[in-house]
Amino acid sequence: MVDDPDHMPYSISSPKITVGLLISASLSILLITFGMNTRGGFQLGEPRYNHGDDENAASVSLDDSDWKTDPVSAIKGSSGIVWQRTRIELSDTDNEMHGRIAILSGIPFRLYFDGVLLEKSLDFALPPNREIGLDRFSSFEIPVDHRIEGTHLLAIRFELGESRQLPFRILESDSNLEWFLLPWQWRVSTDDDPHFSERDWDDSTWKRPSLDSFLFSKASHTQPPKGIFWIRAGMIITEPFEKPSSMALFTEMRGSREIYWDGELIGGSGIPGDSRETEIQGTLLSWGAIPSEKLTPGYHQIAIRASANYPAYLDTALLESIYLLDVYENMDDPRMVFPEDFTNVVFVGFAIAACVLFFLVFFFVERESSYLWFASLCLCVAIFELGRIQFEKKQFSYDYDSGSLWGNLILLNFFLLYALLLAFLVSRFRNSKPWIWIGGFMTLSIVFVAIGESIDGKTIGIMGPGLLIGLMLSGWAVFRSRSGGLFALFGVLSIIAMNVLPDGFLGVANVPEFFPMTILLLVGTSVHIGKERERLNASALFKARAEAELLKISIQPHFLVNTLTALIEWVEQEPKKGVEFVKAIERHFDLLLRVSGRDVIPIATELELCESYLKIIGFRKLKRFQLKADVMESESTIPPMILHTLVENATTHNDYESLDEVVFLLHEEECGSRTRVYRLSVPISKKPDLRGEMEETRGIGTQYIKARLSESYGDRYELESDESSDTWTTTIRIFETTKKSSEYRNR
Amino acid sequence: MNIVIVEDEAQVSKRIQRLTRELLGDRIGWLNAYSTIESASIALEREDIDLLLLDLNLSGRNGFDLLTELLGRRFQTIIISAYKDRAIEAYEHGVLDFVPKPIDETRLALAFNRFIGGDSSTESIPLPRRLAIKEVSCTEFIEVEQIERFSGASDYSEIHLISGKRKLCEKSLESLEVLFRDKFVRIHRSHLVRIGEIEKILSSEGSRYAVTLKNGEKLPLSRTRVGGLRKKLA
Repeated sequence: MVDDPDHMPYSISSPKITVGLLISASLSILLITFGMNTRGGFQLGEPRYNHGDDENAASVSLDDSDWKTDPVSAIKGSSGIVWQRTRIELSDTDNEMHGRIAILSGIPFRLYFDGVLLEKSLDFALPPNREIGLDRFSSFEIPVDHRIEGTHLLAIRFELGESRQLPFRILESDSNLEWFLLPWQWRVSTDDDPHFSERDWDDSTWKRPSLDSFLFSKASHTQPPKGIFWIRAGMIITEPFEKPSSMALFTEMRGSREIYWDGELIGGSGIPGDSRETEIQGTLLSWGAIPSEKLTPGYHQIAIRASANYPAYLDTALLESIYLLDVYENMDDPRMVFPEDFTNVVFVGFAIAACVLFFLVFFFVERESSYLWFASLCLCVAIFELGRIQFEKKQFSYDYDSGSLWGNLILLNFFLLYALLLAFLVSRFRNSKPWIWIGGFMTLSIVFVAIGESIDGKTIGIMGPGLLIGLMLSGWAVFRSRSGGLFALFGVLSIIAMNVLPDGFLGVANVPEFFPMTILLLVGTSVHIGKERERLNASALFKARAEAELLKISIQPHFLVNTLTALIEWVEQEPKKGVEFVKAIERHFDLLLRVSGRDVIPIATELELCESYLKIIGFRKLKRFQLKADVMESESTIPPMILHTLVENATTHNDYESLDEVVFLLHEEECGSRTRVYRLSVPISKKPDLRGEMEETRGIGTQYIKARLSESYGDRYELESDESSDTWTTTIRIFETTKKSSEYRNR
Repeated sequence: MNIVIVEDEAQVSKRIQRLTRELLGDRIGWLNAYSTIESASIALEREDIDLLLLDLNLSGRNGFDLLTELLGRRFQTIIISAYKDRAIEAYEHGVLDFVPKPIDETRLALAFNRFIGGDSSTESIPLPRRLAIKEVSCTEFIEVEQIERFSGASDYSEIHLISGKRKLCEKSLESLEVLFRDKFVRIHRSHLVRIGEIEKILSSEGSRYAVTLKNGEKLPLSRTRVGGLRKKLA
């Protein structure tokens, strides 16, 4: 771990190289072209040993099946020559870095590759290492014409001499061999002496930290020493760097430190101190430039003078990574962006574009809260990804301690990201109990963050509940067959896939973990917007048709001719009443004309319309028809002809012969400032005589009411009918959003 | 004559009643007005009812269904409706007349005149194409083209179909004569015959007349009706 430059600890989960099974094939192709980053290298098979010299021992065709697998029994306790044969599997040999084999040894040997004796290209002595006895480093070039993918034979001829062992190691690495750290060279001391930085200081008496585990971490059950301490390690450079002037040593460490390279101070971060008072805190990441002349092939000594007096997350390690990197390649020239960074940069741009687009859609097209949540989610994802790129490009770091502002802001951003994802899901799928889900997530994740002792623990504490609730919400949406439900479900699953599937999945590297989710949610939401538009258009069309139908009711024979017939009788029999009747008719048609074509009208106008209608009916039916209304605010608006339609339906479909007076009641209920409830009660006759009456007009009436309400209020209304023995009650509930939104709709 | 009015618009009903009384005066035996067919049902079951003045919304889904049921009864039906465009259809179903709203006195007078059997040739209105007859459980339609003649019984009449089948009809020969005024001719107190079915008039001694039909049947012809028949056959 310590010497692995690929372990990028932006802590909030590194990008897993995967394309979820859930992403479409085209998306995978896109990503593959973005982020090709396969790694080559070699793999060694099981070695076999044979005592004694044999001129054919290096031959590819030799049958070594009777050779021993155990070196000790091969040596037989005697001196002389021992041969070792190993199958070696080469891959990705295009990469020149893997055309080399590096070896540490304590005895003389000769190396054959496919039967060809290889020349040492580099050979030098290491500082003495008593425990393992590997005191020489050599490296060999594999001949160019042998660098072919496939199985090859590696044969080694050891001259045992005085040794009764085979102190020998082939350095397997799947990364570059320009440099590597010698793991057993790590030494720690809690004393403080300026000479400790020197290249040749004898640290053989120092403590050796456990190599199986990380350096000072919870996992290794070790705590960093109090006060100032030193760490020393060996690094081998195998070949001259092309641009030594731009190489730097990076450290990622939860402590303040001074870094020495062969005795020379090259950098660090903060100032180590005995206590928290004297220590000046360093950042998690730091780097120091190494003088070119000190980057020669050979052994180099790294020494770190450090202190870690501030509390820090030690789940991973105190010294999480240390590595050599080309500074310019990483941070200077934007033209030299890594191919794998390219994916991330493109994604950040994409997320920001999606964010801006949905903000615009929200503010200028439709005040639909899920668009706002989605825009915010995209912003959060962009910030997350941007931070991660910057962090990986070593452009940005923050104080190592667990209380550091930046570290916590990153955590907060991560928390917001999941909170916004859930907010988007509940508002997008109109979940009726949003606060149970959001509240549940917040409670769980805050508890987990509070008890989590490492960044990773806290991260999982947010991610776990977030993904779980996200799955439940999107699963629910799929179950209720909401449009876009499947997209959301796959979106949430893709985050899990990105975190669970192994690196190198489908050979695609460094895909931002929220990329598939963002794409899927974007597609799902866009499809939804399309459907919504279609529905709105259809409802607008329908509204126009229904309005025409309704106006037709007022001039259709049943209404108009009956009215006129009644009028003739009035004029012939009681001319004065006839004149009054004519006025009532004029008033009604005048109001009809005034309200038709309007989106909403004051409720007072609607009531006038009903009254003028009932007055006409009264003249026709020779009975008093009355609308008693108690409305709180007569200036509140509703779509026109809603109540009129209900009143009209009632008078057309009931026989009020037996009643002396017909009274309609409109009551507005007290329901808080954001909800309006109108309840209209109409008397019903015991035996309605439809006599071929317009059943279909009743249907048209209801459709009209629904179309008008949903056009004005979306799905923020409820229409309910209730029948008792003598009354028919219709309840309309309107849930207001902001004033602005309804004004917007009125335009 | 006894009349039932069904009209749910109180003021319109008032007008129909007033005009009916003015036009028919003493000829009215009794006149009752109702707002629904349900409330009128008892009156409609009475044996002595002659005429129904019915307000019916024929543009509705079941307007004609209701109408059909009433047309099978013995009384004649005059529709008073706002839906003028349905008049022809109503005539074809077999209503006696269709008075459009708003109701004017002259038009209503013409309808009553038609009911009484007066001269109706001034205005040509479509003849029924079907005749509704009431069966035990339902009302059935008979295509008028299938009818050869009617013969009278005491309270009802018998329909003779061209196929030879016979059916009973609640309507009297007088009512049927009015309904099918130009297609059928009354040749006898008990016989109403399709004009096209008559082959020739036979006269015998003692001023006794008879007609032979195309199918060879021989029916008595009243002396008083010979002139009228000759005119129609000419």
